[in-house]
Amino acid sequence: MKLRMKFKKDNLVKFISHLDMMRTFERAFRRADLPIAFTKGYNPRPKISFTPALSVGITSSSEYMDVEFYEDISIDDVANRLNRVLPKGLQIIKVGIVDEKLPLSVLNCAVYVLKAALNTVNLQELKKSINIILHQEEIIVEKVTKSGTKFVNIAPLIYGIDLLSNDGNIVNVKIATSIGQQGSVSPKLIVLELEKLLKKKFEVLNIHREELFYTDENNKILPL
Amino acid sequence: MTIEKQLEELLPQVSKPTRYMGNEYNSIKKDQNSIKVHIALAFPDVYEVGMSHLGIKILYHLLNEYPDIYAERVFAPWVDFEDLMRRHSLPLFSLESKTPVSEFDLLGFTLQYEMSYTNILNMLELSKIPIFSKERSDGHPFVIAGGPCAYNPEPLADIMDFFVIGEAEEAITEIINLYKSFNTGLICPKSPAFIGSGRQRAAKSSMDSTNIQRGTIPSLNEGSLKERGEKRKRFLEEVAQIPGVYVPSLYRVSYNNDGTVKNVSPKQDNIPQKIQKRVIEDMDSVYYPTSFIVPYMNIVHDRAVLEIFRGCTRGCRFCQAGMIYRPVREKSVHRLEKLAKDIIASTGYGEISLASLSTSDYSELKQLTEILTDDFRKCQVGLSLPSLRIDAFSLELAKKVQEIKKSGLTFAPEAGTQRLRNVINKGVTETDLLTSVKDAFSSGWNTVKLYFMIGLPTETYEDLKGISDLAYAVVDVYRKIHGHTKGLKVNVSTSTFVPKPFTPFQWEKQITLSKIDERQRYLRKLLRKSKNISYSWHDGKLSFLEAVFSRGDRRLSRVLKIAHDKGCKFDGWNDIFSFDKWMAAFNEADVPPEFYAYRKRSSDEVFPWDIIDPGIDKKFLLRELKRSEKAQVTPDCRIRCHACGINRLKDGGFCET
Repeated sequence: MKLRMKFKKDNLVKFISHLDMMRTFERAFRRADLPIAFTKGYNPRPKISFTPALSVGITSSSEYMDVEFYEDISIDDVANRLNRVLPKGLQIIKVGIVDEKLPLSVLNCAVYVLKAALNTVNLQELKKSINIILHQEEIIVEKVTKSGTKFVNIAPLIYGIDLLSNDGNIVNVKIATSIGQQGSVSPKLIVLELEKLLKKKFEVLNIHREELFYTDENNKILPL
Repeated sequence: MTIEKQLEELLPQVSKPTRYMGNEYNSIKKDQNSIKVHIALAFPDVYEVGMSHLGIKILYHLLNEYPDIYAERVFAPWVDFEDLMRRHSLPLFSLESKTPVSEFDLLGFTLQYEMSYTNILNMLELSKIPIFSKERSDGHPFVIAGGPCAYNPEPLADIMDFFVIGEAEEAITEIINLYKSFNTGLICPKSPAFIGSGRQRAAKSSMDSTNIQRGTIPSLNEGSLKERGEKRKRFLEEVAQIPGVYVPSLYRVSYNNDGTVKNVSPKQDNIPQKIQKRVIEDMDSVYYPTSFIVPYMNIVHDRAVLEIFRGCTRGCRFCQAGMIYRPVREKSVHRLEKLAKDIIASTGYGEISLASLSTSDYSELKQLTEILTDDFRKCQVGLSLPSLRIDAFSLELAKKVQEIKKSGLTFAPEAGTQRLRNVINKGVTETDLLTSVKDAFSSGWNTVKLYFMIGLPTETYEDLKGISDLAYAVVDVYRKIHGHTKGLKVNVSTSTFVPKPFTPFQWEKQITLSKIDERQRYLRKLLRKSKNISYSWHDGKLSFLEAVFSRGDRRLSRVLKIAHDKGCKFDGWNDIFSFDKWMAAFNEADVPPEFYAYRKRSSDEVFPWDIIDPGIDKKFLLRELKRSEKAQVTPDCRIRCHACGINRLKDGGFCET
């Protein structure tokens, strides 16, 4: 039996890496006495798959995981049982049956909300810089990977940047990016690009992943 | 700006920010208004090392069982974060409530290895607490220490306010109770300055008048400063009365012309002549936590730990733990099974490790492992058995355990020839080793680790060659079974012998750095002829410094301060350790390190650590030294009692073996 779960990761746990999340959930499942399945072989791993990694330091209300169980369980109380034993800051929001037509690995769009203070930057400057980024054909950034650094054009991976609201000197910016197999770009990289254009520090207070879904030209499909 | 706010800004800039986050599952949050004593439990190394240590976990959970005590954790920040902390004037803080360490009532360090001492000084500096105890006043926490290295407390004598010698589960609560009564004025109500603590929190709550007792306290003005220093002194005199507590500032050390210690004596009549270690009598009723903190990051020992017994009956002559943790006291299988189940249920760990000095010596080991593997098979919890001795029986067990999870096999013959193994009283033979290895290879293992020490008393090149011969013999065993050596890995590693206090070798000298170098080179040459064998060795310079501090006296406190000022820290970390800075520090302090490391002591020498009574008699240790000189083996205590002295610690005896 395979269940899909939507969970949130808030400020208290935003520095936990992707790898640490796996361990954290494995232990939580054991504490909740839920019968998760393990891989066979030399080094058994729990059968949990996650959505594409969230950069360290970013909060989210839209993370998903698929979890396989070795026996059927009632899905009604899974969320409660887990929430009782999860560290503060991690919370299961929704549990459902896995839609096999939509594996988590095909999700290709992430929406973030970035909250920043306009201390040194004024709104006009910011709007102008956002516009430049949206109209550039090519934004080459250096990406450090396991196999070394490589140069990537992130321009086609940025789907949209919208100024949502500004309340005094606090501004909210919505950013939609590509994620998953076609390539992904962390909003942190976009902030760096903005700073390059602004030629000063852009004081980001928080970045939050709000949505994660699959999209083609006409449709937007949520995983759960 | 609060520390939490500052962390928001700084943590994205550091490696492994989870080291400083706190908020792990099972970590404890308390309302600070409802507590009376706030204690910081500090481990002088990074989070992932400190969080792997059992002692600090036991004390953490034990103390937090009391509603009016709040114990929090503090670790050494890694260099990248330390740099940021200094640049942003962020003081060292506790993980749970992010309180500056300087605001605690007590700050307790655990001393697991000598090379962590400079980190203690660095942590005090980052906390803005004076490094030398005499410079602290009532506004500062009491800085205390315990753990195996506290059996020779002297190198830290000028730094610590006091030490707790031995097992601390009972002593620590006695100390805290005393502190509580001091702070609320129960012991010495005559002195008004006594009642009001100099601590900020106490001062603040007295202003709020929420606490009647504190509400009556006269305001703390500068005039009472001197008196408050008095209070600190009086507390130290009181705490020195608690068995197991050593207050170094209350003792005077005099020296002979040759630099050796002449005498250590109390400065006043009411202070004990000797400090006897604390021992827990009943291991089944002593507190043991089950709701261990579950870290997010991968720590060094990332598993549940089940302590099965304390002490060891083997009597290896180089081993300090085998001497100072006597007598052997086991927990019952029944208690252990219950603890294991509770620990897994409350932590969710995927592995549980049995902890002791010599796992195979647990009297019901077979029964225990069978019960635990059965209990945990379904939920994929693996069992690990470290410190297994080499024999067929333990191999049988290891096989059973490996049903769930596989790992390499480690053997510790310690020395290369039978003669030298007899000298150190490590009662294993070459046949034992080769039979077990053969068994292991037949059962599918192909990686073995072999641990040895070099520089043991009386060691010759023949003994070194014996190390290599053993390694090649292991390769031959594999070849005989499989017809080839493909896939076989024999990892040989050596460390350099460090003579330790309260062992039969406490009178011995360490070999010189150039000899360490020569002997390691010799082994390298011998061991590189086989592709299956790899050789690694412990840095001789570190072993030299360990030898200095393990048998050092209180003149080394100054050396520590100078080394710290020169930037020594994380000495156990290769990439940070600087031997040159250390040598410069010894030079500047005019304290020759060779005096401590290279000197063979005469049997009547007064040792700096003689002030401590670990329950083991010096006469017994001397007898053992004499036997070692004749390469005579002393059998396991369970075969015959050798009158080590431990029964002195309790009326009617102690040791059941």
